[in-house]
Amino acid sequence: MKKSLNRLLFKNLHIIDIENQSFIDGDILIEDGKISKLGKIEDISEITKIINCKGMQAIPGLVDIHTHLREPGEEYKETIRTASRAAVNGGFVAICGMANTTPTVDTIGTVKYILERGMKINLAKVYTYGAVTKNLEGKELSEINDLVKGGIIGLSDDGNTIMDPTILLRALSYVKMFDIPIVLHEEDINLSENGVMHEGDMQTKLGMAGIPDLSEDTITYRDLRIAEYVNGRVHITHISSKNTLEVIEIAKRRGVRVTCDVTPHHLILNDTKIEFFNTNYKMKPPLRSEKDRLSLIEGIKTGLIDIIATDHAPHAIYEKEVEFNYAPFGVTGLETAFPVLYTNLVKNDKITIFRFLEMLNSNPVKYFDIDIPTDIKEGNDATFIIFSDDKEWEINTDLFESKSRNNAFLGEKVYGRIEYTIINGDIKLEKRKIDKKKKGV
Amino acid sequence: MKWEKKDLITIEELSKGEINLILETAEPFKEILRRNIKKVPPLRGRTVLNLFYEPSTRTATSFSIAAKRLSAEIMSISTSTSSVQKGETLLDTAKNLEAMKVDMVVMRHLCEGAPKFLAERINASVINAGDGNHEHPTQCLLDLSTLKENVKTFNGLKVLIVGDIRHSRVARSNIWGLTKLGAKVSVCAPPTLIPQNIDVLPVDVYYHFDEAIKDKDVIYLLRIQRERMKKGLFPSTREYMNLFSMDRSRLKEAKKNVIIMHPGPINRGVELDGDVADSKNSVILNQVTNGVAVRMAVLYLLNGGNKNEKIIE
Repeated sequence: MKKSLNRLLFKNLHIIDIENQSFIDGDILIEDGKISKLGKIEDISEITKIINCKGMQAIPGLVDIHTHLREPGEEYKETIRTASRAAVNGGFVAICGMANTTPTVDTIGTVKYILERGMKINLAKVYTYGAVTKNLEGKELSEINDLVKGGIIGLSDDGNTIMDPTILLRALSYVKMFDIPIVLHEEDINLSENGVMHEGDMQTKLGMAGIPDLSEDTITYRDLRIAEYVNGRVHITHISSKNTLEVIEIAKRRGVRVTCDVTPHHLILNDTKIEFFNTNYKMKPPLRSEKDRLSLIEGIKTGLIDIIATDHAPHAIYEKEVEFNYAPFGVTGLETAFPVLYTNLVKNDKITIFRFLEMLNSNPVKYFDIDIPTDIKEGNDATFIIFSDDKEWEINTDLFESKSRNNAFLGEKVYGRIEYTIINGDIKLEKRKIDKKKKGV
Repeated sequence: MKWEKKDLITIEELSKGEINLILETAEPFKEILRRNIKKVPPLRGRTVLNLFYEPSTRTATSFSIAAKRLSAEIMSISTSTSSVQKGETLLDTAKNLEAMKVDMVVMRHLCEGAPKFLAERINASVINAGDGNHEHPTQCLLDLSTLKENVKTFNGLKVLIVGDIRHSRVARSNIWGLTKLGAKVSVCAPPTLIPQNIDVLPVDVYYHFDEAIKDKDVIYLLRIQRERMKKGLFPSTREYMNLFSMDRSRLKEAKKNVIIMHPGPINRGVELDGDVADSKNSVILNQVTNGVAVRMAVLYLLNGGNKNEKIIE
């Protein structure tokens, strides 16, 4: 049975025009999942629904290339359903799950399970990485051809740095026949040892075991040389320090095929936050010094840093509400990334909204083969988000659709609130709410 | 001045006035400890709990004696006998203590910040008896109280702390405490045992003991742990002793009236020569005695006591 044509009209928007780096005031008409008309729309006959968005802005949907879905295996922290809900609640229309699930994503079966669950839940688009090595052990390569056929967008052993350089050399060389990137979490575990926070001023005062920036930049250098040697494609994820950034800058200048990302928390917070042992500031890599933070800000301004990724890492409350040393590393990010970045970077003119979207929409799409439109134009798939910016609000746990609460921005006063998330003409988030009938999925 | 804080977690967060209040409050308790009958009533009916997640003889005993001298009920739990063995979290332990209406908890833990974690979650007062490599406030206070008996003023007093500064809660507390009272603190250790960002602490750094020793009024030795050697932080006990042991020949190089201190337990012959430990320059046993008086003062003040109150009729 053919569905009758669904015609949605969003009125009175401030609509971004990426191509011309400007905004226009007008309406968006959606027909059959596509944007059929932009601008002043007077004829409102045969419209299924009219939504007045006075004072709100429409921009392309956000894409997160570093999400921990936790399903399969740790469904008490997050599921593909709750992660998808968190995503659309935070303005993310696509998320990319890391391979460290249980079982790890090292067989085509797990790849298909994740992608099919994502499609069935039908909120954000769900993508996944595959493991570089079997069970993320850094020893034997996964059956990469299988994983690629299953639909992965890249390979990563994420939190488990591939410590044996020969394995990385072979992986980067082998993967060249598939043209997908290997995403690297750079941490020399011999140098970070049992560290729990950045080795610096605050760590010296608190006496806790430190993680030196050295553990990141030295192995980044090693891996970029390996990439250069085999002409492989690497993406360095969640870089945290000035020294790592300098290593990447040199590699880019030498023509190494490298891209990199940074998280919202490394851009906005520094290690002084740990003064009172709050485990919501415990993550890997650790929050670093103010000097490091400022260099990362510089990196997103100059374009040296390509992408902002959340490293959304949910953990149960009882796992985090323990002694700092015993808490797992990681914080959630899907639902707070937009407001904290918008407030701290866009609103105070560190970067433009266009540069912001380059890092959270068009670059992820470009480098990771993700099928999301990068502009709001007639004929495009109707996938975009609408936010309001009229008043300051405070981030608290009531906001969250994620199963977990371990967020580093609780209590922060922010601007910019996601009001609508629309994917292929389907309203996933409406007036800050996710349709109840989607709850049962 | 009146004591306002619910807990005693760090020396770093105390003002000079608060430190002096504790030291002054300790004085009458020292006098009580010299009497035949050493018990006074201020904490009668109060329940103090020693919660030790790390082995300790000296500190736990010192707190027990202090609490008993003040007529409190004191109980001791150590990890080997507690539900920690059954996997109970610190949060649940805190909730249970709260449910049992304990008034004060003396806590030692191998994790930095654990006493702070507990203090934020219970109404009872929490006293940090050492958290990882972070702080050991009552050790600092008893050291200050001992020094007070032996020097005219803290102003300009030159103190040298020797040993594993990097992994020492005693060093961190003493650096803050001594500096707040006006002393000039230096540290001396091989570079591997100095914290990476030592500049953030108000100290001068020496790598050579023989150079550092000359003009110091106080030399404070820290216990050296052999496990550090296994991690390659120094090559051997022998080499450490050659460079950093406080022995008789080094005592001759120091000022004539130099004060020798150590938080205990001593590795005799390693960081401190036995003869030096027992010499007239050593105040190590006075530190132990004063530990009880200072801990009495802390318990007393956290219980709402006032230093001007008459403690006994």
